[in-house]
Amino acid sequence: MRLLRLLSLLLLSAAIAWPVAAQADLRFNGSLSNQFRLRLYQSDMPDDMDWDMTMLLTNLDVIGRATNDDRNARLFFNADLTHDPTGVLEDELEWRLRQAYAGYYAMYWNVEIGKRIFSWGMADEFNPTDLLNSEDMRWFITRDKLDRKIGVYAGSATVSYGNFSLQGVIVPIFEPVKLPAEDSDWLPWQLETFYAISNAFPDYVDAQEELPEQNIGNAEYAARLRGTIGTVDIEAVVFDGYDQLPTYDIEIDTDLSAAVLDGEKPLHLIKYYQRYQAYGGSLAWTIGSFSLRGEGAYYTPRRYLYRIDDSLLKVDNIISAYDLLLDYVDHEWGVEKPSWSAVGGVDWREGTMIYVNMQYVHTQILDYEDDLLYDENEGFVTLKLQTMWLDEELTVAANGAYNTWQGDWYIKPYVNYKLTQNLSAELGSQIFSGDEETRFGDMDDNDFVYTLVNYSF
Amino acid sequence: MKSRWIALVALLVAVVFVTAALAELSAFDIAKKSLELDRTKTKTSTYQLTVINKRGKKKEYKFKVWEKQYADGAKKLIRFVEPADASGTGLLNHEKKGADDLQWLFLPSLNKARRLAGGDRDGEFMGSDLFYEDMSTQSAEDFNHTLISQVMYNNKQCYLIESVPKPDVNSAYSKMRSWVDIETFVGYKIELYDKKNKLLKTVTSKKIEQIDGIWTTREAVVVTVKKGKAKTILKLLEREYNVDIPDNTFTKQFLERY
Repeated sequence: MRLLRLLSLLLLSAAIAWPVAAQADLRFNGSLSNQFRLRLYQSDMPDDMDWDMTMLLTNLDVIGRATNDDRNARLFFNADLTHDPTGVLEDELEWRLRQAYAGYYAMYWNVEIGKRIFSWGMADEFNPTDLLNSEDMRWFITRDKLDRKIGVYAGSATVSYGNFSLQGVIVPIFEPVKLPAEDSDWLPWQLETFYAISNAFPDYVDAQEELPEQNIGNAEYAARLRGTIGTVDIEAVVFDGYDQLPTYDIEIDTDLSAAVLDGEKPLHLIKYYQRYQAYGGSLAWTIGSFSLRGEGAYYTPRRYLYRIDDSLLKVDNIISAYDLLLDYVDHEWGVEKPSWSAVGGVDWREGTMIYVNMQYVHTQILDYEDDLLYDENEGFVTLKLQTMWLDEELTVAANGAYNTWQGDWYIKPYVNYKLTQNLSAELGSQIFSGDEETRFGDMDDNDFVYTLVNYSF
Repeated sequence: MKSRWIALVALLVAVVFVTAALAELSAFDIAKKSLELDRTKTKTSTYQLTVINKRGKKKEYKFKVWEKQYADGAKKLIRFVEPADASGTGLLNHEKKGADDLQWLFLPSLNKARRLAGGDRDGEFMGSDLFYEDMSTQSAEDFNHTLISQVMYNNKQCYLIESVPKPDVNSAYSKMRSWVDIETFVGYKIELYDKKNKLLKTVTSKKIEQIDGIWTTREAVVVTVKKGKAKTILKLLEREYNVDIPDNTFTKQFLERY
């Protein structure tokens, strides 16, 4: 990691020094935003709502780019600084170097190397083929998708001819998803189960994370072919890499007393990342005022966890728990299954007054077993509505998603007003609803109203 | 003898009339000359767009445009430089003769190019009085032109041309009237009419000068009739003609590189 930090600093220094020395075109942009949240949740009293206030997410984002006179060489960097006093971050203040890369661009080919965020796929928000970057899920989906993405160190080479291009990417160092902490309000219920085991008997549980070894043999690879045929944009993607979401295993030492006497922890909770492949593509075309998009991918088998017996979580001492766990010595805590995911959608615009975007997202685990912790099918209808008034100074919008299989839903209505060209204020809310063991229902107690002030420079 | 003289005079008169008819330009020729006045193989431009709403509030944008003519239509890349929240936003347009344009929009907040519906010709460009159609390359072949008369405009002798979009052309307008200088073919003013044949807006060239020997509009003011005091001012800050622009400038890959 120290080497990575040094590399990041070197790239950042080059990004600043080179254009000055080369008298290249150097530009900086950024934004400073401050969001104030009022969380609304069901209190312990029946039929009573409670609230708490949080000054949250002050974010400074800076982008710099330098291009030489011939426009065939380029440096790009993006860094941000976030302050969050609510405990989501390990330290209240966190700095991220999100991107820092150099590129050389010839007529029919280009290469880029450094820390990158890729955005593949033509659908909106849900992209089954966009697999190179993991996401920071510590605030669930309450930050925009691009903000959530974690930069990866990558080398990319592209050859292009006319409307077509073929891009190959190698990512030597895997960056997993950033999950909420165990005590976070944003922790999904599926993970709470495994943390419960760990937390029930902390003196006896050894929690480990196994990351892929950093060597070229463990590098991730991806390729994307894209182009336009007639009036249709197409993309085809192959990916060979790691699932950004971890899977878990539990190993149990059969001789409890010997383990304890040796000062070891007999229960091993192992968090690791699975290798898999994905094959997919997307397309987009337009008919009159309508834009149509589709994207899909097939995923080779990945490990899905089985539900854990409730009895394991109800015992209150290690001896009883251990007796129960001995029955699970050879237990399979998960199983590998292939899956697929697809999105289809349409958007329509009437001048700048009205914009409507609707999509259906479907994911299916193939060869399903009923004991799995995840549902066989998950399907969402997503909707974005936007209208602009007062010469595009006032935006009234709503984004939402509804799970057609489990009935949970999410909505984010908001109003944004541009006080000046650089300063805007936003008032909105994010609301989650549904049964407890559903994606959005799990976050029901995290509904909030917010104000956001953003200054661009 | 007398009959020979009459025949000769008649022939001479016929020659004079035919020559005169051939020398006089058609409305199509005038419109084509005017529209293609600054249409070189390639050009780059830097514009400042000032949008003033009816309350007098100003918004200013600065953007660069790269254009290149191809056999099947022009390609254009627009990249916004200012203000900060629009910086990096790009619009790529591939014009197709006889078909809808292909358009892609790049927003830094999405980090990728997005296909746009090309049918949205009457959408306002950045909330201004200009439509997306006004920002695209107009072809004289897409209209039926009529020479109405010769008139004076700002002490200049002008052709007054009326242009009506052909039935198979997707246009936001029912017709346009153009005041075109008879010597330089510079357009001084355009009146644009909506689908109900009512005057929608006027575009007036405020400053015209020669750049590299090519007459170029340096400043234009667009006023939408029903918007009262609102107007849009488009100033050309820089222009270069016939520069080397690689073909890969007009690709999605380049659009996404901001």
